[in-house]
Amino acid sequence: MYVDSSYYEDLMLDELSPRFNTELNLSDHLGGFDSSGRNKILDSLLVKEFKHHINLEYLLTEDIRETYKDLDLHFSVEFKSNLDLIRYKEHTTHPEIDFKNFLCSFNRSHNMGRQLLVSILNKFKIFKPGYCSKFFEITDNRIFGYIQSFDDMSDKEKLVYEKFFTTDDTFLKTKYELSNIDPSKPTESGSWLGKDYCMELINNFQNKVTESFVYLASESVAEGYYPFFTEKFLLGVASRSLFITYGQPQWYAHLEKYFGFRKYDIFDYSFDSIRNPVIRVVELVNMLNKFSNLSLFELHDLYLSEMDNIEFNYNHYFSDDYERHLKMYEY
Amino acid sequence: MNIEQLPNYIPYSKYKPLINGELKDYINNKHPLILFDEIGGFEYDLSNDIFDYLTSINCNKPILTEYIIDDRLRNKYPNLDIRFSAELKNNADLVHTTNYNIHPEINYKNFLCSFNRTGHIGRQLLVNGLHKFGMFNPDYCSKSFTSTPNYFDSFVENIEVETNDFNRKFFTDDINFLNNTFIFGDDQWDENLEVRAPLGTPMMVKNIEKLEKRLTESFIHLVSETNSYKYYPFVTEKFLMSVITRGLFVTFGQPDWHSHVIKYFGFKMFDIFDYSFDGIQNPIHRLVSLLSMIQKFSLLSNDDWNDLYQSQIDIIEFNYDHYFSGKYYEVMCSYE
Repeated sequence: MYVDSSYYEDLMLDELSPRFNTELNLSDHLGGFDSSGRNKILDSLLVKEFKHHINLEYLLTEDIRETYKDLDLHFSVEFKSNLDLIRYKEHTTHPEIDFKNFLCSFNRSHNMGRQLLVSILNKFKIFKPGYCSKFFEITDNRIFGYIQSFDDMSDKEKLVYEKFFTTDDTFLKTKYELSNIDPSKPTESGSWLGKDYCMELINNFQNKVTESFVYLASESVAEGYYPFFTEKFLLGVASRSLFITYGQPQWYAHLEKYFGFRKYDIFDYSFDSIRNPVIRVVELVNMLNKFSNLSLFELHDLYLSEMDNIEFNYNHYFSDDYERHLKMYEY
Repeated sequence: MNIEQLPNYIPYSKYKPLINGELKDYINNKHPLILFDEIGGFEYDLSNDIFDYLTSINCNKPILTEYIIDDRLRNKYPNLDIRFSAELKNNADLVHTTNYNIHPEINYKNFLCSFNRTGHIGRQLLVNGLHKFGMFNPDYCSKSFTSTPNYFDSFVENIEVETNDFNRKFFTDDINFLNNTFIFGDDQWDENLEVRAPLGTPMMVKNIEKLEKRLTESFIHLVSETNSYKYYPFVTEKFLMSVITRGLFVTFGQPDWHSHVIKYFGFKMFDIFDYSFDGIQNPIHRLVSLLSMIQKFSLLSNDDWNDLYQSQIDIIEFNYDHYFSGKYYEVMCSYE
C-alpha cells in the first residue's frame, strides 16, 4: 500500500486498516519528527502493532530505529530516488551563470518553516519579488505565537529573535508568484509529484537560479527535528549554482555523510547544528546576509572559487554516484 | 600613584631602547621594571619582543605589567617574574572616568558608533570592514587615518594563522574611503588629549564629553581596542565609555577579550549578542564574524532597538555600578 501526505490523517485514524495486511510504502515527510525524535505516524503504527514491511523515505540513524525497533522499517535508494531525487536527471543543460541578483528562494506550500523563512528574508531586505516566491498569506501573530511556544528559548531570547521577522502587513498578506504554474494542481502534462511537473518547474525557475548568487532551498518541514531530503536542493546542483538549504538540524551533516555531496568553503554551516528552528533560520540568513553587501563582480569571483565543489556535486548527481553512496546506508 | 615618577617606568617611547640594551641601569638597579601600556602585544605563539629580550638577558627581577597573566603566558616565559599590577592598570587608564557620572539620555538616532584615532592595522581592518558592511556612518564613526590600497594583502602576507581568501571581499576597496579621514569637525577627538595616564583624568573626561552624544544616540558602540590584531587580551579604558554612558558595546579586541573582561574585571556581557567570534584566533575571521553578528541588528527599527536595550537594563546597571563602586578593581586585585 502506498501512502502519501494526503492519507496521513486517514492512516492515523485507522481509516486504512482494511488494507493493512500488506507492505506499507510511506512517502514524503510523514509530518516530520519532533524534538524527542518521535513521529506521529510511526507512533500510530506502533500502537497498531503493525508487523509488515514499511518503506520510508527517511534514512534513520540507529538511535531512532531503536526507538521504533518493533516496526519493520526499511530505507532503499530505489524507493527514495524514484520518488523525488531522480527528478532532475533529464535536466543536463542549464542557462549560463549570469548573476543579476543576490538570492532566490521558492516557497510554495505554507508550512511554518517557510513562513519563518520568507518573513526573515523580507526583514533582511533580501526577499526580491521576481526572484523569490511566496504562494501563501501569513498572519504575523502566527509567527510570533510559534516563537513564543518554544520551551528551549528564554523570554529574552524570544524577545530578541522575534525582532528578525517582518511585521510588514502588506508583505505578509501578499502572494508573490513567479510563474503561471498553479502549484496546488497537477499540470496538463502530469502530476505535480512527477518528473514532468518538475521539468516544467525547472523551465520556469532555472533562470532565477542561474541569475542569482545563491539559491536558498526551502526544505519540507524545515521546522522538524530530523533531516529529510527532497529534490529541492538538486535544482541548485543541476544548475551548477550555489545553494543553501533551510532544512532540519544536521541536514548538511546528513547530506555529506549519507549522500556524499560536498558543502562549499565560503559558507559557514554552524547553523546546521542549531536545533531550534527559529534560531537556526536567523543564523542561516544572517550568515548569508554578509554576502549581500558584495558587488555582482565579487559574487562571481566567489562563485568561481567554488567551481571544484560545484562540478563535483554536478557529476556526483548525474553519474549516480550519490545513489551508490546512499546504498551503503540502506536498511 | 603617579606612574611617570616611579623608578624603572618604561612607557611606549622606551620599548625600543630597552630591547636595544640601552636601559641597562633599569635592569641592574633594585627596583622592579614597570612596563606601561601594551608593550607591542603578543604574537600567535604568545611571544613578545620585550619579554624575549628580558629572557635573553636572564632578567630575574619582578616585572610589573598591565597584562593579566594566565597560565599560557606563565608557561611561555617560565623564567621571568612577570606580575600583573592592578594598581598600575587602574591608574594607567581605568580609573580616569570615575568623575564622569552624568550622561545624556539614551535617545537612539543611529545604529552604530566607533571611534578610530590611531591607524594600526586592526583599526584599518575595522573601519574598512564597517564601510563594506554599510555600517560606517561618518556622523557617528571616525577614522583619523588613511589606508593604502594594499593594506589588506600586506597584512595577510605576514599573518601567522591561515586566512580564507574570500574574506578579502568583506573589506572595502573604495579608494575615496581609504584616502579620506572622517573626523567630527569641532567635536574632533583632540589629538593632543591623550587618554593615557601621563595626561590624567580631566583629559579623559573631556574626550568622553565630546563623544557622549554619539554614544547615547547609537544602539551599539563598536569599541576599537588597542592592537586588536594581536593574540593576547589587552583591556583599555575604551569600553568604559559605554559602561559610564549606560550603553551597549561590543569590542573588536584580541581573541578572548570579552571572556577576559568577564573573568578578570568582573563586568558582564550582554545576552542579546552572540560572542562566538570572541574565540576566533584569526583577526580577519574574528572581525568578519563580529560584523556579521551585529549586522542583523542594523535592520531593526528604533523601537526594536529600544526594546532590546530595555531587555539589557539589568546588565547595563550592573556594569555601571560595578565600575563606579570600584568593585572591578577588587576583582582585578584578586588576580595580581
